[in-house]
Amino acid sequence: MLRRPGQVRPMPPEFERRCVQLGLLAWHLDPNGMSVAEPTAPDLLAMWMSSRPMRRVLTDLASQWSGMDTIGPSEPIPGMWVFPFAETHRRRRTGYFVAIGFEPKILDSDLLEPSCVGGSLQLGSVKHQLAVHATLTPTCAKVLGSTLSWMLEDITSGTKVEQTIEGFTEQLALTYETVSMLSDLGTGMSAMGDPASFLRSVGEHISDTLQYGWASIVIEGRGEQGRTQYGNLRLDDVELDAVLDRIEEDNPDAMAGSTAIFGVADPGSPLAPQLVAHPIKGGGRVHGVIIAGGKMGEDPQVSTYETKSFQSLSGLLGAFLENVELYEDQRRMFFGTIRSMSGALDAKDRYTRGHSDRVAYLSAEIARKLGLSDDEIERIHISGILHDVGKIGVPESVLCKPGRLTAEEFDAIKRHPQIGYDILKDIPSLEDVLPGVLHHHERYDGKGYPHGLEGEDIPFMARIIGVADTFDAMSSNRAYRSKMSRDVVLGEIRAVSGSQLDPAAAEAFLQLDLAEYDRMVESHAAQDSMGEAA
Amino acid sequence: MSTPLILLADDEPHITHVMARAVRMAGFDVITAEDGEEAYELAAERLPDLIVTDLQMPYMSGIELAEKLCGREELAKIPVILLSARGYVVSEDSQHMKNVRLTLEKPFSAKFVIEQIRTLLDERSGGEEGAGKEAA
Repeated sequence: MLRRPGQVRPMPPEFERRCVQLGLLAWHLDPNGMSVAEPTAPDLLAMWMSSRPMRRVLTDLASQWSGMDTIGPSEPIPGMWVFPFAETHRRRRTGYFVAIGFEPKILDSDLLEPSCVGGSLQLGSVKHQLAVHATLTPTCAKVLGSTLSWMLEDITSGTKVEQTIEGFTEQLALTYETVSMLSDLGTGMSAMGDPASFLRSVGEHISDTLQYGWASIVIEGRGEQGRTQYGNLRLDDVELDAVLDRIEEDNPDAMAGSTAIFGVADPGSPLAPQLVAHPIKGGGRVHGVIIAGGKMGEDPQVSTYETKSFQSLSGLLGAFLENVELYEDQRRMFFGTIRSMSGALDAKDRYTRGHSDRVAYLSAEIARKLGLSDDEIERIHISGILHDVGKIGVPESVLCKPGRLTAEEFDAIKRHPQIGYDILKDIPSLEDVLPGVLHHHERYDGKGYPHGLEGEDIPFMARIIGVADTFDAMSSNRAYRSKMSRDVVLGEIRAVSGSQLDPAAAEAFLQLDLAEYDRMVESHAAQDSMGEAA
Repeated sequence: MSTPLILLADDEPHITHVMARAVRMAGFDVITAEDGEEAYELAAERLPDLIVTDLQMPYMSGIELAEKLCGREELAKIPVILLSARGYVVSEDSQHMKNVRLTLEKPFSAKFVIEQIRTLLDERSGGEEGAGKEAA
């Protein structure tokens, strides 16, 4: 809809077509009456009209019209009728659309011969052509003048309506794109687990929807986390610092929440002609900045339509990043809490030191081998860390007793799954891991404790932890015996698969590479001896 | 009191169209201009109660229009609302013109603009009454 200056607008095609049908010539003239394009007429007549004498007739007329607000039909030479219509753009006269018709008496005009000589045309042929077109009468000419003028008014107003609709359509498309972008991003904001892909999608939206060639979401990490950029624009640290400095310098308010826009002098830069930057704020903190440049489309200047979109985006991003941080904090606190619980147990019983971590690791690996989902693997891992937490409630004298346990002492030990369950059961986020804690001492043949569950009735999580727990117990020193060799332990696992242990979980375990497990054992042993030295 | 007359000036017909419809529905009389020059001519001829004008227009920008209106006593008192697609330019240029009462960034909500028109018109009639009372 926007027209570049200097662009020639053609004559309305409807006007041209109807003139031809009425036996008239149509001609587009500039404000001085000079031809903008060849007249629409049979070849010979077009050449004749373009001859110097005929062109002078029109330039003379145009100089009269230029002083007049309203112009009308005239008969500059006997038998030739000119119907002029002002062409305007933004209320300025930019030229004329002219229809030309002839009465038969044109054939007697004195101008006919000189105009043919000047244009090297054969008088006879021109006269013959003209005779075909010279059908007007004076009355008919008057009616034609009014009819043509109404017609052109209708055509012009129709064109204006079309342009308005085009404007509406463009605006509507842009509005729709923006709404859909914000809706997409609003929906994507729940992807807390994968912030990087969300941030990348914001970068893509800035390029695709807002039509910027280059966009970057720069996030300043917390603490030791560095700066991360998402999007198709990658600036190195020096360039980025230069941009951030300029934002501060040019617009001290930028970091307070307004959009900074500045020119890019180097026309070769992909960011030219303007760079726009908007801070991302959330929870009272600046998390980073949105940078975009290289605006595409007809208007390369950054408009308030876009700055408003940047504001919305930055608001969404701020809330999103704030939520991501809260989510991460919560996760860290959650893991910190469960680790401190298992740490409390380690402090009590040196023989089980590192046991919880190793069982957690092995259980997660068995779960992975069995093809369980990431969420399930994580739950099993957490359950592994906490499986023995109930031993906190078992007297130290029993836990660390070197010799054979009495029946009462053994009963005390057997209470630890229930104690662990009771300790954890009121923590809502641990609800999913409780089955592993309560049932990891059940046996596949139903002879385990605390409930004597059998086979598939034992929660799968507990069956997996049972395998890992059995293996690690046999592989470590205990108060009551020394550790067994790897071959003996693996043989024992095979032997009790299907009786004590779930055969599928045991089979999956036997396929594991135990290198990482051995590394954990060494590292725990090293911590142990350091602890003893201290 | 007669229905207030609002002059809307914007070179983008779809914007004037939407605005004119909304302002008319809100109970005002509306005239429109498609450039700053036409807006000035219409303002001088019809003396509207308020002018809502775009910033970037051919021949005469919204800022130039506001300045030119300031030059004639009977036109200087017409409150002007500037609409802009380049917010940062407006804030710098319009500060010295006392007839520019408000600058709004595009895209704007027609509803919001109408609220502002009402507020400014109320202020104006309120102000005149106030002045009358003081004089009495």
